[in-house]
Amino acid sequence: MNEQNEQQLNRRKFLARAAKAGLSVAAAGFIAKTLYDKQGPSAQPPSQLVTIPDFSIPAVQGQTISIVKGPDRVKTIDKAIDLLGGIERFVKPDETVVIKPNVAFTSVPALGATTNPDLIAEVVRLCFSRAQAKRVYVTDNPINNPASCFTISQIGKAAAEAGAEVILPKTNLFRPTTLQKSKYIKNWPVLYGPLAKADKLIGIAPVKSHSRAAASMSMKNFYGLLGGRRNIFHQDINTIIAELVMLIKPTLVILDGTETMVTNGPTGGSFSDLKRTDTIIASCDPVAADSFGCSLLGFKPADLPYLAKAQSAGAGTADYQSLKPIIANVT
Amino acid sequence: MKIVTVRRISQIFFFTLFVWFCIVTTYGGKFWQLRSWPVNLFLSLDPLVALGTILTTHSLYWPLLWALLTVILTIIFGRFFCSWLCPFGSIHHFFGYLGSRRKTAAQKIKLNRYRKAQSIKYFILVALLIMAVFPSLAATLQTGLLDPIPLVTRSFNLILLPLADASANLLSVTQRFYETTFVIFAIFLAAVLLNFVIPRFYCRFICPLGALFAVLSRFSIWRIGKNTKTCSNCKFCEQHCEGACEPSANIKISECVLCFNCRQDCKTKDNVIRYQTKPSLAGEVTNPDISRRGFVLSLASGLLAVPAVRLAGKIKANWPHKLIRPPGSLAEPEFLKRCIKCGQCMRICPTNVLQPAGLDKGLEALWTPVLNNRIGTSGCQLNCTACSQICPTAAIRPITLDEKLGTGSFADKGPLKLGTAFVDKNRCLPWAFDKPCIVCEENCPLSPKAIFTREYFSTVRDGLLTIKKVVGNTIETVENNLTLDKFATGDYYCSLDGSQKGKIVANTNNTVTISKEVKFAKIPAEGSKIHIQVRLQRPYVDIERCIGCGVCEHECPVSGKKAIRVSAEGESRSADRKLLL
Amino acid sequence: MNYNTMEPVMAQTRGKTPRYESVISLFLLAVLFIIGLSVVIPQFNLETSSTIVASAEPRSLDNLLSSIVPAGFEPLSEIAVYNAENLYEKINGKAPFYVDSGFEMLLTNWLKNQTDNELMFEFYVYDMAEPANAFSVFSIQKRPDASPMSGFEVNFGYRTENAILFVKGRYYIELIGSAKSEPLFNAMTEFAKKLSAALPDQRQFSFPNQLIAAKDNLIPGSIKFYTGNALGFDGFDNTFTAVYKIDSSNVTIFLSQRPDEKNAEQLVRDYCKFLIETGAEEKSADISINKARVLDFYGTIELVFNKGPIVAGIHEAEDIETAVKLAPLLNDILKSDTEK
Repeated sequence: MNEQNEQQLNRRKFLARAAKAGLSVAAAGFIAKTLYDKQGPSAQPPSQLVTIPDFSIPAVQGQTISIVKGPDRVKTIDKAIDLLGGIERFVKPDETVVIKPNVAFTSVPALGATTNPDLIAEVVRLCFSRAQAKRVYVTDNPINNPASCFTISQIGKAAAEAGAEVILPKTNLFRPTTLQKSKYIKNWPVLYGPLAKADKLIGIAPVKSHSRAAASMSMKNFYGLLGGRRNIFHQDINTIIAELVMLIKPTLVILDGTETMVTNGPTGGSFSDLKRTDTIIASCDPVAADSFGCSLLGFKPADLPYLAKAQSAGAGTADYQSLKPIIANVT
Repeated sequence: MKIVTVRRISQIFFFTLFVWFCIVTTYGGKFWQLRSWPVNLFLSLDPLVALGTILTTHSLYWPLLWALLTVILTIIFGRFFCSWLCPFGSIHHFFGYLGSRRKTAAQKIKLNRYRKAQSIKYFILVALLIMAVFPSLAATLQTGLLDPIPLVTRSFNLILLPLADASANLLSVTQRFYETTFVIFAIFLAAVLLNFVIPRFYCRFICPLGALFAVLSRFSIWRIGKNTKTCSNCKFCEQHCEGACEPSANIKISECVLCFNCRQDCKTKDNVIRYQTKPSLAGEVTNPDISRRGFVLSLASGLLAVPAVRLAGKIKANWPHKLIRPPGSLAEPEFLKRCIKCGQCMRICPTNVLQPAGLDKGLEALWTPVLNNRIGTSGCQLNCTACSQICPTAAIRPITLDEKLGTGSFADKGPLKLGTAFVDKNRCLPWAFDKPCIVCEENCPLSPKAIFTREYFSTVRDGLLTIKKVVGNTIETVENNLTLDKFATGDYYCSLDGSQKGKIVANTNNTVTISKEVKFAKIPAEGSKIHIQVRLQRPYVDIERCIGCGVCEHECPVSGKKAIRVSAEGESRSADRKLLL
Repeated sequence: MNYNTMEPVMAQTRGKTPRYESVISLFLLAVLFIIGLSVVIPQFNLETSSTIVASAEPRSLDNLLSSIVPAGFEPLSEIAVYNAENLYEKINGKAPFYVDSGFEMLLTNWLKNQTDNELMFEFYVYDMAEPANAFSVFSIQKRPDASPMSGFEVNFGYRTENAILFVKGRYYIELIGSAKSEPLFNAMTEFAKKLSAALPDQRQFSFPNQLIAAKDNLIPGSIKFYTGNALGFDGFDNTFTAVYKIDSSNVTIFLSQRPDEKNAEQLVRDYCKFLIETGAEEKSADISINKARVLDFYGTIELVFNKGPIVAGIHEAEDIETAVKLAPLLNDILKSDTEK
């Protein structure tokens, strides 16, 4: 009797084990089938390419670019933005705004190599108080050490005091992207983290001369969103600047020509490098902004090859007059 | 016919096959060369290779499908691989046998008792697998360090075969050299010699593949066990037990390697030990004996090891510039996810330029293939893609010649670059020492060449001489300490006032004779100066063309620290190591 | 039982091996044997062997060439590769002919018989970039002692006493044997067969319908294709010539497809101008073809005309009567396409 029971028990155990073995075999086979790779790896590593969102807003005839002259930056920029419809046109309530200033160097505001912190503070204020934005971020990928740049340029302080959050360019915020029909932006890391959260993007840059590119203005400002070993692109600087505006479509750019750096750009270093030109340009089209801005440096648009390249790529127009700029003065 | 006899035949068969495959991994079409012998068979059958790459790449590379066969057979039958197939296991089996031949039965039984330390191999397996599981970029495949098939393949390919072939030169016309071989050899030797301490030492205590098989064999349909409760407990079955699984008592199925020695040694007529479907009547334990604490510990070590190692930044900006990888290699993080350090590429490379990396290239790169242009016959041969064809896991993905050379359908992409050559002007003969030499330019295999020269004339030391008299094409000098015919090699020129240059065809201690083709525009006056100049062709590297093949470095006559050296900047496989736009 | 010590003695042998154990053992032995065979046998039959080392992408050309070396032969050295710039180093004066016809790459090597060292053959595999170019260099260089291939099916190919020459896709292949020898030639044929089957480009070059329409008269194997400079005139690129047997005499007809009618008319004018400048005399003749021009070039007659975008004509006809007689035939040939 016991033996029979024992035999039955054994059989049950055996069947259980056989079933488990069968399941294991099936599982192994299933894994092998789903993961089977006949092709082998390709030359390029699998990357999760991102697409940079288009932050531009619908164009309004005659309200694309404004040029305002005035000695006080804050007043001038208020006027410039108001002439294009006011901040409310660009930023809607509850939206998240990313401001991209030029924080490239550990340089004090007075030397004009970085964006003036007063402008940052004012734009942040406008976003919160008038446009009812929910969040404003200020970010850049500087050339020198990031934390030092935000501190010494005083942009960090100005942003924080106005209620914005500074986003430092941490490694995990960069993601690779590819720009179609571009020569250089192929699988290249960009500072995607802040952009992914943003509804609107505002660029704010000073007007500076540049030894390699002739001028560094609102278009070149977006170089600060590139990661990786981006200085390799200096070998073909005009193409890369043109490709920057194909890649980044901002809502608005502000070009600060109050104190233009006319010599020894882009780092400057001496007050004598600056010339008081008291002009601020607000524009939905960075190419147009730069085409006017270069006049503050004594250039014509034809002197900057990247303007023509950008125009032929359809990223904007180098003929700012055709956009009927609104010109004004502020005391 | 006894089952153990077949098992022994099987061990001999697969071991011979393994050694044969190692031998034929030689570039060429003869019978004893590569042809289409399936030289990666053992690596493909190895489930740890398949599992490791599945975890790191989330795909099963097609040649590794063979591993599924091994897995299925193991699930059904148990750990047959260890004692019927594994060439490393056969070596340990043999040396274990040698070591315990003279021992008494009691001593042998004692040696084969189960030891708690046999659970170490599970911890090793867990640690290795967890390193492979790490999400995306941080994953690394280090199973190759201790996985027996890559280990034994590496040991044979890089040490035993070159040693055996050193005088016979049958497999290779020239002596094959490999770096860091001492460490590889030491590990191999240690593993083999430890069998004299405890038989199948490696298999019982270290082998992660064995651990994997142990886990897979939990539900095996047939297992070793006792068929009857009447057993005199003489323990003779454990005399030659390979797995140290204690078949006489509670048999540990996870350790049993199906050697069937227990069945053979059992002296009763009843055949107490059987390979049967029912569990052993003396009791069996199917689960591997690992403590929870041990498991967590090995998990944690594996988890922490990878990021800790990566802090050295060797994958990012601190990358070693001499880490030149074979053509077709994937970018470094992807490469490290696939390379099992088997050494097949180093073995097949016809020029012997592929070497196992030492610790200097980063811990993770240990024993992975790198080019050392000083070793071997010629840098990376232009028309060869052997390494890419043989890599069992596609760490070096298979490329066609068209892709390597940038011809045919790859003409728009250009050739694959391994790096770029850099001329060291402080060591190069024409640059630093006024000695003519263009060996590097001559040997550059590309057409048009990636090395070009610019002519440069340099006045030799003590080469400023004063003219005493000119007779025809011979100038007699005031100074009379020139070495006879030192300047007659065809490289030396006589320069008069910097305007006219004439090739020197002969000289004595105080005369210099210029080639008859030169006619003096004006006979130089007595007292005027001449310069003896050497005509140098100074090499320049065209970095747009250079593919970093290393032939120039190999041929450079400055044989210690070469005057032209390749480093990995500009390699095609890495977007972030580009030299040019 | 040991009756001295009164201890049970255990049997020294375990007894006969049970039957089932022997059966299983033998079965496993057989499995091992089959594994051994399946590893070794494919090495002797390279065409059907599948290998774990095989690449996932098509093998490159010189791997292919190394793998089809006939049994009993071995390569003399490494396969030599030449491109347009250094082709002259191998074939000297003939190089411009290939290079002008679109040559891209040449792979060549000697294969030597292992037992009889006198027997060897050299293979030349020319990559001509396009099937048309391959056919061109093949057809223009056709040896006068060409005879048809046997034992090897190919669209365009012939043999001589010691050579096999053929076209496959964009490749033009020459196999030149060192001696007149049956076994050598058989090995070459094997090589040619395998090469032809395995070349990565299996495109067929096809002739214009017009040429083969009158195939009863067409002398087989006489079609030539010129990528440039047909009939000595550099305006004739992409031109076919073919020899037809009409009334027991051979007539060379040429034909060229131009991009449009205007180009064709201009080409006719240019060719006639060229001939006249080099001494031809234009004749008038009653030819049924519209606007056909007839020229007497130092005793032979050239007839040229265009029909739509096609330029065609007769080259070196014996006399005007022949040309006149052939005109309707030409017309028919050309009409046969336009009627489609």
